[in-house]
Amino acid sequence: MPLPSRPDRRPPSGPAAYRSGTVVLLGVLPLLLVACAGSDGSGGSAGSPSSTGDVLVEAVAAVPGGLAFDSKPGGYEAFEYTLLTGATLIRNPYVQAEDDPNALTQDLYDFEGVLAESYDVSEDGLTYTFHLREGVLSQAGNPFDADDVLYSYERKWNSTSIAPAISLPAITDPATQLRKIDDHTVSWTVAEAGHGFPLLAVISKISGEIYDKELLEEHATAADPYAVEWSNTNGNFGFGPYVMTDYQDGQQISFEANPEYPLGEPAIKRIIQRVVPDAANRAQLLRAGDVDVAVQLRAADVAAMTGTEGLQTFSVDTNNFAWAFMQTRTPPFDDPLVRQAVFYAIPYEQIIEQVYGGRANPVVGLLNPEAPHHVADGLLEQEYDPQRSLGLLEQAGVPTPVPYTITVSNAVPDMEAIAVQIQSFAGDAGFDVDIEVLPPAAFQEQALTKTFQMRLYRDMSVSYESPPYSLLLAFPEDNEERNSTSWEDPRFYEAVAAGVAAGDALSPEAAVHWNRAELVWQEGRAQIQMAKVQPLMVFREGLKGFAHRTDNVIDFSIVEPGS
Amino acid sequence: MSASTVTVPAVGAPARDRTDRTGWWKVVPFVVIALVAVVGPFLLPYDPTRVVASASVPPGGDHWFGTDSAGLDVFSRVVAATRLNLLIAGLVTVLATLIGALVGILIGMNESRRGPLGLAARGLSRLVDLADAVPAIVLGLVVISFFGATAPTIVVCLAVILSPIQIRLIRTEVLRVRAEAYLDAARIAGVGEARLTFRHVMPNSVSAAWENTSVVFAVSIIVTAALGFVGVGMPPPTPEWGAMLSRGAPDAVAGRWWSATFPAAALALAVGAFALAASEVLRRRRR
Repeated sequence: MPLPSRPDRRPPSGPAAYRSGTVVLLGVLPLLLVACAGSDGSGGSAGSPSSTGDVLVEAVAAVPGGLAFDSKPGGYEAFEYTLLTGATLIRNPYVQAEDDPNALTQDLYDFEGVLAESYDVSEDGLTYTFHLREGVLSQAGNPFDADDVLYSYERKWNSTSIAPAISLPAITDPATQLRKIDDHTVSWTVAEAGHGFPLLAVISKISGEIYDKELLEEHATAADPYAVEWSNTNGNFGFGPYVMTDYQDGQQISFEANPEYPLGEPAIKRIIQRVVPDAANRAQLLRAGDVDVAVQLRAADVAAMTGTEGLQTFSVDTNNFAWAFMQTRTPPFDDPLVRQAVFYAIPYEQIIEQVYGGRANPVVGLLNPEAPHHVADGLLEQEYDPQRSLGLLEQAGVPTPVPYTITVSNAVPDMEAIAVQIQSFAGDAGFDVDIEVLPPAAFQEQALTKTFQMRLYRDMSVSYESPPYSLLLAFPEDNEERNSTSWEDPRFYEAVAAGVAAGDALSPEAAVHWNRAELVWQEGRAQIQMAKVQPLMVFREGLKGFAHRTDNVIDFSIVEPGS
Repeated sequence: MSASTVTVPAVGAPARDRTDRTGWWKVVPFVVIALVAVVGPFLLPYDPTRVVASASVPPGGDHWFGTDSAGLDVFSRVVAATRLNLLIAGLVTVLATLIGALVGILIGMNESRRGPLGLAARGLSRLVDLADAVPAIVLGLVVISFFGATAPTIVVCLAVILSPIQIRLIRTEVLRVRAEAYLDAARIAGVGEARLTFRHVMPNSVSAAWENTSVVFAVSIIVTAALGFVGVGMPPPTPEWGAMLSRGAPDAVAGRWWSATFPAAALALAVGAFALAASEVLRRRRR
């Protein structure tokens, strides 16, 4: 039986009909885009199983830009890689965090051995002697000894490593400060006793990683005498708790526990880092149970996951700072009164509550308030006070509103959100703010060329606990390249020098000088600390052993599978 | 992006029926959107660039479309963005068509010549083909990364990027028109080449580009939004649909759907409404 013919409908014809259909389809695209935003985007199977017992799957934003710290691969992934595969002479022991029963934190004022078994301090406080563990093997199977320690610092100081810059002021010249006593003993000598604690603080962090000299020398070439480039692409050149077993660029990296790790083979036997570029998708995978750990999440997503069954978030005080830096060479921030006015024009509480969903802490001063004998006299608490800001601007004699531009990187969405908050509230405080969002490379370029007015970014001071380090990190003396704000004050450097000269950096005598330095810094106000962001990583329920570290990455060597 | 082609009305096509009143309803949605663009910014419940409430408040009585992750009112922003998005699209369409007319006529009238002028015209034609082969969003990304994201930059950048669509159309029409006998007659009558081009060739060649403006308009809205989505659009907190979509998409994944859905819907409606209106206007024009 023939099918009935369709009614004779005149089909649309001609270019207009074609165009109309096309453009309607184009119009629907955005809706599809929103719908697709919920897709995985990981490139992996959303339904694939995650951890089973001692295997753990971590959702990360990217693979490291390089595998060697000395080749300057910045970012979370590079730091975590260094911690997974590297080991230092000493480290800060982990202790229970005061503000979160499910989290550990570092005791920043104590040290325990990793590759060193113990250390002694000479009576004059100038020489630190480290007794190295015997019988430790590298990931390549080479025995660990004093030559590895000396070689490591020789390489750090003879490559493009950032270690020399961030080891100041304690370490200036390892060639003269670091000595081999015997195969299993080395000593560090500092110029003043006041550099002793900063020395321990800096060598206990990831920049103090010790390398396998034998392996690297095997791969050294005339063009690459310390095998920095070789190690940057091959990895596994240290004594850390994990060995990288598989590297798929842009997709995932696998690690196996190192049975030779001096502090014992980690409980998690296998770690798979799966690359999921979008933070929201990482959070979604964790919610779906497809990964065990998700890192570098948006604070709003972490806040939303807090209290969710099956997930663990952590509320620990951190050194993950949201910073504002002002360029002090050019208007309007060449006037300290204008910079001080900005301090009162930032809505701190609003930023903590709205941008970070309450998952950030206020900041007072530049130094760790938990430091022994810390003096906070005269340090201002964060306060949004538009009237005070207007008063300071009037005192400065500048017409209001004072226009300025905030620059942020489009790779850090919370900075953009902070900029919107500042812009919104700065109007009442006498400022007219524009926001400029740049790709990371252009953002970095602006810092180097000092062509910004105010730049916001989130970063950490890894040796936060060490006063001279923290004070000088952004304002190194006579180092124009690293001092992006160009702010310098002789009184500041005099106070820092006096603190170092006072002997023990953690002594009450030194603390008075640190406080003086902070007050000068506060008066200069080239930098404003807006918030300390709580951990942006989330664990699935059952995993134990999260510890906040000053490098803000996860130490998987202490994580346990739990139930 | 491929250009659409049009069919030139055949000789002897029926005269326009000016009494035809059916189909005008198709213009209404775009007129409403245009009205929103003109008067909407004066009727907003909140300042679209200021934080007015807590972040991520769901749609409700105080905030009809909710608030975004910064605490900006989504309804006010969607309405305020209408003006900017339509203005950019309108200016891009005009500018792209002007560029298209100028360059298309230059190429069409000269590409068959001998000598340097013909060579230049043919080279320009290949250059246009090359520019047309690169996706608009990629070109936009590069250009805006260099010159910064401001409304004038985006307009000029998109106009240049989208002009090859019009250039190719007009060139094709010029090739057809320049073979017409009346041009030869005009030449014989002593009409100069410039006058010939602008008095006779141009008016008879641009109708295809005029009909194609609906595509350019829609594509420019989409590309503006796409540039915002990939993070090189207007700086925050400028209300612009693409940028709103971009910043709202991560929230949508976490279940806070409103900050991306409403600008996405506005974008779809605007493009759809313009397409509908343009098809009706052009249908009438052809009759």
